[in-house]
Amino acid sequence: MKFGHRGANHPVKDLRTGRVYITSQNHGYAVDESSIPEDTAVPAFRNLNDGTNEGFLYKDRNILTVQFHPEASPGPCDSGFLFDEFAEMMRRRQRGSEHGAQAD
Amino acid sequence: MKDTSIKKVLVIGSGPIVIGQAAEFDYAGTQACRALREEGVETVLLNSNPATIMTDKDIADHVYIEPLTVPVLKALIEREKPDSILPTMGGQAGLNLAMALADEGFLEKKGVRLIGASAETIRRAEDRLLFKETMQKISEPVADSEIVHDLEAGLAAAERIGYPVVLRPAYTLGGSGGGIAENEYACRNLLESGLRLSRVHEVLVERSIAGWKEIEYEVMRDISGNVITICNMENMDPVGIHTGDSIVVAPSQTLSDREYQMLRSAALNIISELEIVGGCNVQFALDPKSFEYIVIEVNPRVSRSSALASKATGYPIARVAAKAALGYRLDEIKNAVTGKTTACFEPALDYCVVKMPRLPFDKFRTADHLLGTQMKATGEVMAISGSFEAGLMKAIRSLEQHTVSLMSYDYSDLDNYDLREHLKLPDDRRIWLIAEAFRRGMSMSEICALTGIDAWFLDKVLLLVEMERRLSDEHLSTDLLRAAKMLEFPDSVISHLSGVKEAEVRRLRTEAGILPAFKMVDTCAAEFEAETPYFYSVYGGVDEAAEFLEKRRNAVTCAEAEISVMKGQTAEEREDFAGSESANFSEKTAQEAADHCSEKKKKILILGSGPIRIGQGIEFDFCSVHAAWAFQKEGYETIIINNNPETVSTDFDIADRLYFEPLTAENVRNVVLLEKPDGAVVQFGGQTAIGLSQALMEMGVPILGTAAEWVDAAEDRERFDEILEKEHIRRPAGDTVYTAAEAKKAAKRLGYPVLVRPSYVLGGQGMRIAVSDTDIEEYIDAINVIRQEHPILVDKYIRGKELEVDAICDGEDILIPGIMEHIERTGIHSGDSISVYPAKSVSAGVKETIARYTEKLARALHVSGMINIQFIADGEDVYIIEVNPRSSRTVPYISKVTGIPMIALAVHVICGGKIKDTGFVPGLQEERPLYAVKMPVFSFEKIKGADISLGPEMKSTGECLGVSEDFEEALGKAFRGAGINLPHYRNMIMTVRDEDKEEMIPVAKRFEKMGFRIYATRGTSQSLMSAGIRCFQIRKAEQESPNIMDLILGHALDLIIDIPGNGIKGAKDGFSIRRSAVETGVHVITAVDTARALAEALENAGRGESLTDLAKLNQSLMSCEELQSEEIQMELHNCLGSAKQSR
Repeated sequence: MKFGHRGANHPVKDLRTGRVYITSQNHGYAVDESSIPEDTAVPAFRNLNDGTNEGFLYKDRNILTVQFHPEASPGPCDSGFLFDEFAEMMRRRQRGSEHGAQAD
Repeated sequence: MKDTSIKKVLVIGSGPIVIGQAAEFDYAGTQACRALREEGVETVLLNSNPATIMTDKDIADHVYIEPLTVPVLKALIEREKPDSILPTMGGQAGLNLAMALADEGFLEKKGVRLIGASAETIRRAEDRLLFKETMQKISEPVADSEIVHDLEAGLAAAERIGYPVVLRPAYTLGGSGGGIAENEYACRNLLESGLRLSRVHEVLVERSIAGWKEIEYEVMRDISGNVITICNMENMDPVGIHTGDSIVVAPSQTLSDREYQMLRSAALNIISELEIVGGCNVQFALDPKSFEYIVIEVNPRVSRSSALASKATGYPIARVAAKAALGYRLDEIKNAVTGKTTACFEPALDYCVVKMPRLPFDKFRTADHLLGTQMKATGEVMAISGSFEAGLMKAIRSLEQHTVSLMSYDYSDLDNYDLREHLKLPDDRRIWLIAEAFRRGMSMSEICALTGIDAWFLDKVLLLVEMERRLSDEHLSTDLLRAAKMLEFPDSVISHLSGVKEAEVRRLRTEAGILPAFKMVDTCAAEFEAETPYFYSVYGGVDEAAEFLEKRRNAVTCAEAEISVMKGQTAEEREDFAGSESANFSEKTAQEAADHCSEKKKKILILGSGPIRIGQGIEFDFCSVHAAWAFQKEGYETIIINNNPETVSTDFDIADRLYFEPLTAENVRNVVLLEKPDGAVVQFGGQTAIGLSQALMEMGVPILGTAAEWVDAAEDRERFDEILEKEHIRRPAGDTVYTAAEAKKAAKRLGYPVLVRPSYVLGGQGMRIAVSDTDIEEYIDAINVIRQEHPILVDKYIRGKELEVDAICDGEDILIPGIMEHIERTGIHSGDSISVYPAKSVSAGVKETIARYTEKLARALHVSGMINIQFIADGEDVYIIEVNPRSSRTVPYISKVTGIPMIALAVHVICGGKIKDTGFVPGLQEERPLYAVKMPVFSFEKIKGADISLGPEMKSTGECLGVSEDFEEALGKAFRGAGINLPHYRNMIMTVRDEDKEEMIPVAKRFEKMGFRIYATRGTSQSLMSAGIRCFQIRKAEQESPNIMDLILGHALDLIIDIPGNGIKGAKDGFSIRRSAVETGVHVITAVDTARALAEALENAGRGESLTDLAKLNQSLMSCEELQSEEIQMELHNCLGSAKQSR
């Protein structure tokens, strides 16, 4: 990226819901979306200013990636829900492995 | 996505300018209307304020300048049938009005919805109990409080919560009637007035959190639930002083990230819970010692703070809020400043913004200067700089109150004990007092403890005080000079402190290269390139404005090159082009680009009018903005300098370039050096701009329009008298004096009463009617306090009819749109008089004389552009009172009711055009078939201790208009628009000075006939009774109870007609009666003529509401002139007539 994303005011769109969140960012490289095969992961977040990728959701795996800082220190806590989502994903996985065989 | 079912939207304005509700709503409403029109939505505008830009026919499709009352709004909805109302642009007034209709179920019945904020949202934000419940639901803390509807419950609540308590009446603007009560006695007083002023007789008694930090967040939400913060702001003063009266800084300066994010999240939670679609303002109190905070208030609408936030960040809040209300998501709305990014982002500030209030104590010298929860400021200024301390220095000199630094007030008579006591009490001069305390060596911790202000801010004041000391003690080295300029010390102050001449200071720093750089306000801290930026100056740093201009110059060169290439092509070559159309098109675009940015295009500098203050209101912003538009039409590139964040003129897309700077010679010079304008106009920016004429000429900038020497001629007594004599025009006899002794001599020769006034002022500041030598002594003292460099004028006072014209002169021809007549006779400032267009009670002969005099004077004064003249008619005799070769406060209203675009014509003339080539016929224009009554509106209840009796010094803060074919109805509308909606109790008090008793009798008879019960003091009651009028004698205030005071405090009065005598004694008599009346919400009239007009209006009340669409009316009037077609005449008649449906 030319200058990179720096600061605590970057709008990121959650492609799953269409909602936009303000995030804390500090990065100079972005992932080229076309470099990730569609059956591996789908883009989950995009920067509203320049359209660069800000995160992927992996298929068949419990992986959610973001390039911004939901932990927000410093910065806005808008995307704090991602931790809940991640924790929930882990719990689901745990439940899944307990009763695994029947479910899948 | 846009909600396509919204096709016709009614936008409600905020009505007359009063303290707490000023120009910011014109700015918001104008921006909103333009955004709606951009989307193809038909707009209907309702506002009673004729001085606003939003009521222009170019801004909305249908314009109604009518009183903001429930019956009017209902009639308007019946007539225009809008599908939606946008209630969030008109401040508290607009919101309350929309809610009144929603509560009645009227909107539902008519199928009209509220967009931006639903009725439910508004209730949950505004109703104290619902608000508390809402906040509790989302776990946002609010102060312990109780809602009360009567005195006893209020006192009990205060007892339970514990003193001190804050009292907040519900549904009032600017916190009217609110305050902090330290004890039961104070609580009782505040409760009484608060209950009365509240629309629903409701007061909130609340735990006092005085001493906490006051922080505001401007947040925005769209229909899909996306939420963002535009800006946060911190009040320098702790909680307890209304944010409108506090020095405010953006962004916050003393918060940690944790505190900032905690409050930001809270603000976003609140707007989400309230489901506001658009902008919202949340005020917090934050305990500096812990992370505890409480939510003070939520405004589910645009506000004064959002206007400030818009200007501070460049983010057009009202525009985005209007689009969001139409259903757009924030990420679908373009950021109009960058043109590339979306509106869904949070602006970044790489500078510091300081707002200072403009308080009206220069006008109300007797008033209580203490600041509290009741807002008192009439306006504000904003300064942008690299640091708080530099911003503060810029803001101080923007105030237009003779302050250039922190040394502007003399405290030598204040000993250290008094100084300490004084520091505890916040008033309008607190920042100056803090500087004085530092000068005397008081410690930081002590000042901190006394004022409750965060040490961070105090430290900045200390920095400024230390610089003062260095400048006076040290040799003025280049380094010191640079350091002083970094702190924004003006050259004049550096000169004063260092003893080096001002010109020398300027030479020194120019040689050392200590020059300001202009930085851009681009919403994004230079992350993206901005297309329509505005600038501020700062010492040190790269000049972004110069870069910007350079880039445009290059663009022009490219465009020109392209054109010449195209022009060089032969026709055949062009045929070879893919399509000739596209070739033409690209040539056209290149030409446009060149035209648009051409450096060859002449540049015009337009000086704004600074902060809104009594005497120089929103009217001058109307004039500045229209001047900018007109110059653009004439092919000029426009540059505006102004410092008022509330106005339309400081919006990012009005002028080609905006410089947010103090209006001082030094700051204007910096802009001139950069821009090198071809000319400047000063006649549209009121006295502020006129005052800079001399400085502009010294910089070598030609003043377009009337030359400065002729402006002087109109003010210079001797020169003006010569002109009058030559033209055989009379004026009241008078003299020019410098001292009290000379003034007394002059008065003796002329005979009392005389009019005493300083020259070169606006709004009649310092003007008084003197009836004795003692009066003269006192007045001249008062005048000299406000540093008078110009002579004082003493005139014979003639009591006659006052008339006024605004005209446009091109050097040969004069166009007079109309003659206005004042209801009040001479002696009351024209801005405080009820003004009627067209003049209705003077003879055709007088009108003819006025037109002739106007033509003569405009020619004699070599006027090019606007001129305003005030006359006295005593029978058939016409005298001149004053001539102002500039735009005046009546221009907006006359432009609107006559349909004559006065500013555009004046600009055309200034650019060298002639009136004749505009299609208008010179001379006095034919009268329109309507009456327009302009009514002054006052904010007396907000300024404790201000004398409300009217005189030659202006006191009104705003105005409203009543328009109708029928005079009485227009008058009635004007009174109702000003909030005088009578009667409720049919009780009134009369106390009239001796010389007016006879005239008062017929007026009293009329009130009696309308069923009013008249109470009168002894003298008045005797003369009324001897004329056969039934009245009740009451004792004076100083006599034993029950007396007049008991009657006033009994809360069952409609009206007091109290006509005090002239002079100082007159002003003192009845002062406390008038004050108590105003503070308890009783209307007070202080002139016989006003009383007569009110009687006339009331007698004719209750005939229903007619409505006039001024946008339509003016269209038909214009076509009438052009075509003289009978058909259109009929249409016009119908346009006026159809309105009378409800009669």
